[in-house]
Amino acid sequence: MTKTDAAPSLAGSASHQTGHRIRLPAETGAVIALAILVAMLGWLSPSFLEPANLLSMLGQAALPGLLAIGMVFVLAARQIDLSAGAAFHLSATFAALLMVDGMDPWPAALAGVAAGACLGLINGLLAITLRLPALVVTLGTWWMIQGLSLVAGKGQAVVPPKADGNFFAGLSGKAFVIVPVVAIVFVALALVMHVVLHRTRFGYRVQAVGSNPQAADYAGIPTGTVRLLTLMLMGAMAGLAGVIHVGAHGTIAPGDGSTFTLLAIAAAIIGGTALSGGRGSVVGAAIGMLILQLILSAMALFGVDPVWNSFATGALLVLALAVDRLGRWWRNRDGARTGDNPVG
Amino acid sequence: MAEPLIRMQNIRKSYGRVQALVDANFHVNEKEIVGLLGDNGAGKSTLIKVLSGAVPLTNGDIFIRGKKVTLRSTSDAIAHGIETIYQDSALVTQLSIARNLFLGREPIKPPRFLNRMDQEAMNTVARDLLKEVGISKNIPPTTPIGSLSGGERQAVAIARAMHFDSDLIILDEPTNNLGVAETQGVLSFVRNARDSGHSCIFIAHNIHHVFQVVDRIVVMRRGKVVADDIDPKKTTVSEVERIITGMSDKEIRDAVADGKPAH
Repeated sequence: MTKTDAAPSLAGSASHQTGHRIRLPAETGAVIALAILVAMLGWLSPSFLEPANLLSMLGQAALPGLLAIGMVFVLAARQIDLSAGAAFHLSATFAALLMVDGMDPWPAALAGVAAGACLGLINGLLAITLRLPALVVTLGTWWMIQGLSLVAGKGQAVVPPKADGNFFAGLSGKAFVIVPVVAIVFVALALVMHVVLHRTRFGYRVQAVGSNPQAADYAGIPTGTVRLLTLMLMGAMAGLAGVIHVGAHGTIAPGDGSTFTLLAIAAAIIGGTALSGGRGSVVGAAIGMLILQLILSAMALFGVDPVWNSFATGALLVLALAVDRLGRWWRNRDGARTGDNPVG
Repeated sequence: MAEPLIRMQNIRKSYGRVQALVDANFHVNEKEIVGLLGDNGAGKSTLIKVLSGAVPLTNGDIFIRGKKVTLRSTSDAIAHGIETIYQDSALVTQLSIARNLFLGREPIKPPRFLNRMDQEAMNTVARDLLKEVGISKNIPPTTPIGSLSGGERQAVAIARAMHFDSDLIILDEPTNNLGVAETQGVLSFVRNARDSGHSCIFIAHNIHHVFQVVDRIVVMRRGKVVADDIDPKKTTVSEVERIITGMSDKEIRDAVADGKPAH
């Protein structure tokens, strides 16, 4: 039996139209939605399109956006982290308290990021050693971390002294007069983490573990370590967002960032990350967060009472899930028609 | 050739009080295709999982070329040159062919600390490998596994095992859910693998597929190896079936007759 003999026996077993068809990137839907949204808002209120306004919107998207970046990695590995918003708050409180105690703001900020990473590490260790889904573990740690924040901050806003203005002025300032510094940090990190997810071995293993954990395990990939690292990364991003919040706003108050977890999950899904794992887009999540912020600020622009914000965030998450699900049906239907194996 | 490539000696594996393997003895010689047969629950899968490091053994020894080894994980087994292709869990469907070929062994571009994958190298190797295993059609290596047929998926999985200089390739039900033509393709890959110096363990429910390709048949029953030197050229399928079930001809006839009204 020669090698060429094998070829005809496999030929015609599947049509490869998918290989020739132009495959749209996962972010396409989010980009189109963002464009429509901006055009619509600009038409309804031309002042909305002023660069200063758009850039300040980007600044508002930055903090929950940092959490969304981490959430993409967590979701792509078929995990979820419900405690991210709480980790944001505790890291911020921790850093602010260190500053109150007289620590220099920069090392205190570093300690805040490390604290976030530690919280992620604890989540990961619990999930892996107890063999529990991250959903359940982080549901528990969410309340624990939130409780610790309240205890540490004594239920009040923590306001660090602004003796060294460098840290606070830097983070609350604007480059080139109108570009918020936090927006620059957000965009830069989104681009870097996008490359990490799609070009590095770590990012690729995250997707492999999320897509088929069994196959990844059999191929010798340490699946537990990969999951642990994604949760640590999530914690570190939450910690970074926390200390930037302290720097930009000069305080951390109870209730700050309470919607961040949901916003991050919704942004990731709007941006083309699959809740079922294996697929993720960091840039998509960043765009998703912009969409969410645009909708929330449009509501303010048209005089909708801010008490509706929670409802709107939840509704957008449900909408994103529905679109994700419909998209999968569409792809499967497509796959059946071209003779592809629908098992995948 | 005094010492076989793989020798498993007195392998015992129990799950609680259930004994999956009872002093099983098994060996694979260099450049040999061994067919592993047995009824459901005979212990085939457990034996394979022990050998591929997926399941720790309770008792017994494994020797590779006469050297005793301990296989604590799948990566241990892979490091010792044992590649296992599981029927449903060999590939990650959402990733491309090239990435699946290098699953767990992704090449890294210098400088190493940046952890960047060498995608060009992966695609080049993948393109050559696809030709080698007989997928001559112009399928780009960036195609996701999800859009390949079952036979093509098996080909990719086998190509991966062949590329990484493995000494032993374990195929768990490689012809399940495949059409006739695709099955022939997979069987010819297995022959190719032997011709290029690999040993294979071939597990299949379909005895006819096993007969077409293996050098030697090993039969397991109730956690034991009951026959380990059946020559497929000198034995008939029905003789092997008798060994698998452990029943005489008459007993099989009776069992079939008993079973008929139930259908």
